[in-house]
Amino acid sequence: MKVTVTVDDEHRPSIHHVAEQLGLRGMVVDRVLPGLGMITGSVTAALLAGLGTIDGVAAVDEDLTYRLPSPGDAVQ
Amino acid sequence: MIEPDSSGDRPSGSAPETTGRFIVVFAETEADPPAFLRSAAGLSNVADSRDFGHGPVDPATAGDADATVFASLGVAVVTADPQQAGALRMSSDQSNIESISPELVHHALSQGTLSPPSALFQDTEHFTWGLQATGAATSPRTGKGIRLAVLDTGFDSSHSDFAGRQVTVESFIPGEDPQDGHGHGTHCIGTSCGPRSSREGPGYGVASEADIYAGKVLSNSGSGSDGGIIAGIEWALVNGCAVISMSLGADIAQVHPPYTAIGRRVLDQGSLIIAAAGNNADRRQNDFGFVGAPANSPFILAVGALDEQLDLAYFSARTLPVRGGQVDIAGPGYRVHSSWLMPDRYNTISGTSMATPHVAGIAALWAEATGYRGRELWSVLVQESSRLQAPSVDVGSGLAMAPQE
Repeated sequence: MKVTVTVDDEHRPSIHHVAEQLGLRGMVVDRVLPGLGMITGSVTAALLAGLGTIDGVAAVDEDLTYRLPSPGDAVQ
Repeated sequence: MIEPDSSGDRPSGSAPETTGRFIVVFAETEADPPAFLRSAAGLSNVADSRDFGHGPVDPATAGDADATVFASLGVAVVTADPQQAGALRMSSDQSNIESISPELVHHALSQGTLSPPSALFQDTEHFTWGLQATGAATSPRTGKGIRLAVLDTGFDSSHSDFAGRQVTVESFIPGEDPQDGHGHGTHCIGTSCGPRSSREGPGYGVASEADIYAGKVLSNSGSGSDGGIIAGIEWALVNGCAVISMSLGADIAQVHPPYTAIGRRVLDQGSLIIAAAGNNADRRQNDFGFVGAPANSPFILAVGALDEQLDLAYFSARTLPVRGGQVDIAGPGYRVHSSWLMPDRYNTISGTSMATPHVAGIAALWAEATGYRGRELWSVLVQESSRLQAPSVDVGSGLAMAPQE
């Protein structure tokens, strides 16, 4: 599943280290975003719970999907 | 202090209605107001509220008196002839009295008779109704020097109305270039940053000289997910965009936690995310909907949609009753004319998606006019918005208004 990891404020300067730790626990990291302090990627359901225990991880949230109406619809 | 004309009723105009009596406010140092009234003004019949114990002052008893003293307040209501009034005025110079004022007649406030707004905007040959209603049509500000990001379905770079404009494009959708294959993104960019005058049809763009950052976070089929959207926000932030417009949302009745941290961190770094409240209401069926994610996050400005009469659009979502779930402001979001994919060039559609880029463009105008960023920019948008008759749960602080200087 696709996930977004929120890095806590204290660990934002060391976000790349947090990303390495996530990788070691089985997360496939797509993007490390230092400006926002977020890391996005994917992980299996079995390994999801393990991510939250990593130092510097404030939260792990499953991605939401967003869908626009078709271009012909009057209300967008 | 003595009021200049304390001799009774005022004849006309908006002057207050008075009784002919006076309200005397004693200095706090005056220990015995009844005695003072007897000695200074020669008032013989002085009623003292203390004589009524803990009960109310009996109007029948007090009505016969020349003066009624309310000891706890240090105030007296006095009936005085001109000579007595003159004596009291003299005494006020001796620091026994703070003020003597005519007693005013008060009325119960009548039921409000607020008339409905007579607003009825329509597109003209010069401007869309939205540019007129928000004052963007007459604003001397154009967003010049301000970077504005629209995170949506990309941008049609071949659109003739944007020839010569500074447009930076990027795609966060795997396998798709930044070219808009849907139309929604090009429409939102048109409203926020398009031209104020057009050779064909009305001018439709609010911040017509802003630098455009078009991030594609929704695919040509109109779908996307957090990973791409968050990457787009980071891109806008790193590129110094003061305003990030997001006409997207999921109908989720909870705050999605990543956007709480993101909204706050974006504000901390001098940018502002403006997002659509959502179209999940159908007020024709008494369904009021709710503000979805990410607009329901506490640090993201949520935008509702208005029609040409500045009434709420039937689809515009109502405040979600959680922290951050409120509609913060409203913008034109009904039958909005703007740019569309070539060769169609233009399209007229409705939605909180259309209201959002109006507010984003106006935010860019305020950013230019004031130099404000982040929380200060949020504040000035809300402060300067035009209040509406509609409930705040639907329109927040009202219609976003453009600076006029």
